[in-house]
Amino acid sequence: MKMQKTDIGVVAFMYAVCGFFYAYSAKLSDTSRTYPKFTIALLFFLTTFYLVQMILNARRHGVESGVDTVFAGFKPVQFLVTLAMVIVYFFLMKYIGFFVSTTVFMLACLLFLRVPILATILSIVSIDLLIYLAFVLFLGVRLPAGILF
Amino acid sequence: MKKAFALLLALCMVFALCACGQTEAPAQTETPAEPQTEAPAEAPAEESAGWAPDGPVTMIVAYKAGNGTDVTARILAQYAEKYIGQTIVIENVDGGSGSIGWSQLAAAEPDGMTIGFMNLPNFNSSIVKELGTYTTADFAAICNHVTETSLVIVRADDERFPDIDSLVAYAKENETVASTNGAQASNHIGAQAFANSAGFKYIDLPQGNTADELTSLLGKEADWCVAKAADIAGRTDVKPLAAFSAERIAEYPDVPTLGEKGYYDQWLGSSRCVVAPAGVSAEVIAFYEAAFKATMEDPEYLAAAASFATDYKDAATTAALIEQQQAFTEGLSTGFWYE
Amino acid sequence: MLETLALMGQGFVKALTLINLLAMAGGVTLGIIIGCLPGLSAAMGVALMLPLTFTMPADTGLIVLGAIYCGAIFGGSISAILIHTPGTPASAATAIEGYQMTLQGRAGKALATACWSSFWGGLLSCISLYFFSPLLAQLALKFMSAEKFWLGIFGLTIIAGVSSKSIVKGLMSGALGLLISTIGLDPIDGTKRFMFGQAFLAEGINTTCALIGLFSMSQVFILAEKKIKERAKATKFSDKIRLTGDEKKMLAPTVVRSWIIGNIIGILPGAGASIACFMGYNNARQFSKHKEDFGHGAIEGVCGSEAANNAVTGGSLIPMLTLGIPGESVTAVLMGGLIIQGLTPGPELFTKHAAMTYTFFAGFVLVQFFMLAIGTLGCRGFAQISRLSDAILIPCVTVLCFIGSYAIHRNMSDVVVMLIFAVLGYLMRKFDLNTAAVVLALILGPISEKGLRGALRVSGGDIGVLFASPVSWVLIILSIIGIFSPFLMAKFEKKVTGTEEVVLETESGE
Repeated sequence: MKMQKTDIGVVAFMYAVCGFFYAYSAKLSDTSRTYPKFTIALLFFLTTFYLVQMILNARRHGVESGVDTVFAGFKPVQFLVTLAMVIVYFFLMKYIGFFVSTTVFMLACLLFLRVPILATILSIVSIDLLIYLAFVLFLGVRLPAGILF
Repeated sequence: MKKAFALLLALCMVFALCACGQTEAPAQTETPAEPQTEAPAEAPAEESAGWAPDGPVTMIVAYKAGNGTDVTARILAQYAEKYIGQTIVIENVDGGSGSIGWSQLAAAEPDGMTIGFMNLPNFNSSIVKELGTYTTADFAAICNHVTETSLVIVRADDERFPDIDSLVAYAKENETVASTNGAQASNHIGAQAFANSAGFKYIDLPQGNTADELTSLLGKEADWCVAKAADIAGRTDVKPLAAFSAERIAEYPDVPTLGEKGYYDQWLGSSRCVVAPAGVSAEVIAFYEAAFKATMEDPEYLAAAASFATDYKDAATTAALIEQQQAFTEGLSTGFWYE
Repeated sequence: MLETLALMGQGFVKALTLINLLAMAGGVTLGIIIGCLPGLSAAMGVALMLPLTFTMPADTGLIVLGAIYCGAIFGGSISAILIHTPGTPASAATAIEGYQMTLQGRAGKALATACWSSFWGGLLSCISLYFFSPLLAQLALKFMSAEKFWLGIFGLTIIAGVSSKSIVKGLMSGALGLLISTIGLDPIDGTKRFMFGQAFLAEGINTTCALIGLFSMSQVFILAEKKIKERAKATKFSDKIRLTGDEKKMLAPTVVRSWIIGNIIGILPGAGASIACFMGYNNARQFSKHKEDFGHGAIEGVCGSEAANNAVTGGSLIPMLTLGIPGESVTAVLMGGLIIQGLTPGPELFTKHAAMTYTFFAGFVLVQFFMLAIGTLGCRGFAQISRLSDAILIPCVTVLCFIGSYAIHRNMSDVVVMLIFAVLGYLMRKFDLNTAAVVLALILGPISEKGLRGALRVSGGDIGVLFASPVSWVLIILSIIGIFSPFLMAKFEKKVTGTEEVVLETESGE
């Protein structure tokens, strides 16, 4: 099994997490700090173990980029736009309220992903109805209500 | 494309209508079936010039559904609707050990349509721990609902402790473990107050909630614990040794008070009171005060509330109680706890 | 003894009234719906119905609540299988195999397996409820701090099994989860840990939020990055839904093992269906003759997980009814309901109120049949959802994730947490880390920590307390077996078959 370059990122991330939480934990009292220190140590040890494994693999089988396998068929535009829409949806929901933002988000998303009009409308109606019936009517969950309902 | 947009606009209108219903209280779940009485019993005690809510009233409970406070709140709400004249919607806003619910209550419009339950001393602890940005000044007391007195409790079959004095004697010679419902939570405060007054040290074992606390006791991991009367109601596997009260409590008339025995002589326990966000008018408070008082005297309510200790206190007394508990909780820091 | 049997029989008679039967049907359906919606847990459903049961006769009210409980635990598997979104944490392990089956066009079969397994798990757990309650309840009392610690450790060794590819990466994911689980108020001292000034984190990262983010919202991102699949045309829907006789025979041992696992986990306070499903899944994997199928749609995996989590339902009632010890959130609500009706958990329930108690038990048994019927009826219908194109699933699942995480506390902060975990989950899945391990660690971390620190606190720092009781030793041995079993099983198979069956990514492997 060749070493994957992408795993460098994984190892780096884990070490970063260890470092961050370790620094943050300095504020804690001694007794409170013990268990987090233990988990940080565990994570650190396992990450190092994996790093050693990686290096040995690299020596034995060589290195490959890994980006190809991990991101095969990646469609950046589709992905990033979807991600952006999700984030916008969050802010819309926070300030404008649930039903409007959901309808807008779904409309935008479905049209962007080129779903036929009939299916689009059906989906929006179904979801809005499902949520309304299940969460609002039945369970009485008060959904985010912003400026508009 | 144009057709699609027109259709969508129409749909949005439909949803506008539907979602308006969202702000109303949904009828089914929150409103248990009306009690059987048809005759409109006592009219809500309000003058014609007095205030009355013009729509459903929301009561915020800062804990999950099914929790102790929630259960007693729902019983109160069910019978109070008659006197308030509107549906009462219980809203569970749990999280942050209650601070999320109380924050939401403090931030609500002081128009009398949103009130809620405050748990003492948990509320006070949340202020001391800085879990929320509210203070006692952000709330207006309406009345007290439940008062539970704390008791020192051991296993019923524990032969070492036939009474409170034998527990104290044992605890002075040997290390005892007391389970609690959380670090610095109400039962921990009780245990600490007791141990300090009796002059012994113990090991506390926080368990997060009362059910686990009692389990720890039953499982013989803990030797004693402090819990409220309602928590052990009807149980035969534990026995109370003493009460944190000035006078003996009704549920256990044979159990001495700690004060009688020369130990901690103040009341300790938990209270659940009804409060509103600060800024509500005096009429609003008077209205609810009267309505809840009538509810707590209603025989049907009393029958349903048999398993816990209803203790009506009026607005002024409740406000004083909140402040007293706050002062008490804040005063606990110096020298009360072990390092 | 005869008297008890007579009472049991009478219970069935009373349970078979029209109103009770309607209550069962209604409750199960409601429960399934609540269960399959992400963010809504069984406890929430039971708690919401609780006030409505005040006006019903006591036994009908309890039957309704029990029906919702069972239905919800099964219902979670529906969304777990179809959209990789466990409807309740109890079905997290079902998502692993179930979703793979959906991708292969076998959603209907997966759902049928889940339903069938849930039925058997629940039904068998009723046996312990009827006949072994007092005995098994004592087990709950043996389960103190030290034992809770070891249970947590044992649960974590499951991670080694749940990690399909690199065991080390799986363990790393688990360790990461453990670290994240320390966020919140320290359970022993009450001090704030890693809360970043946010009060809502006082009780820690909400497991359901993290689960929704790690499993489902990350799935949305994964769907969004590749070419949209039009599954309606792609896979032929000739899926045979009903389980064949052969399949049932193959699954039977898994069901029995999962039943025992789930039943015991249910009895132990603090542990719950969410842990049981992973244990059942892992156990199914360990004993499977087709290990290579795991991770690619093995019905044994679905069966193991679902039978275990439904077996928890009967088990969890035992300590609650006999000792007044609610093992987990749903039984805590049920207990509240009992107390309001004036019924105190304890021996009284089996003497003074025996008639009502046995009617409730009988109702619980009958509920399993309703669940089987209603669930199976719905299978084909639900399975159609698997034919939806990714393009439709992306926004729909997103909306469900948002509202699911919001509905937990009616707080947008939970949605933020969900989104953070979604990004984390996406990255983890791309780089072969294990999201299930994080979830397990989030659930077990606090149990383990409280157990360890509690035990040491009581013993004054003496580590010996961890090795004192027989229950602790049982768990220690199970943990050791758990850690080494992948290696042991591989060596064992090598000897038997003479070929290298399982490829383990150990750098020291020859």
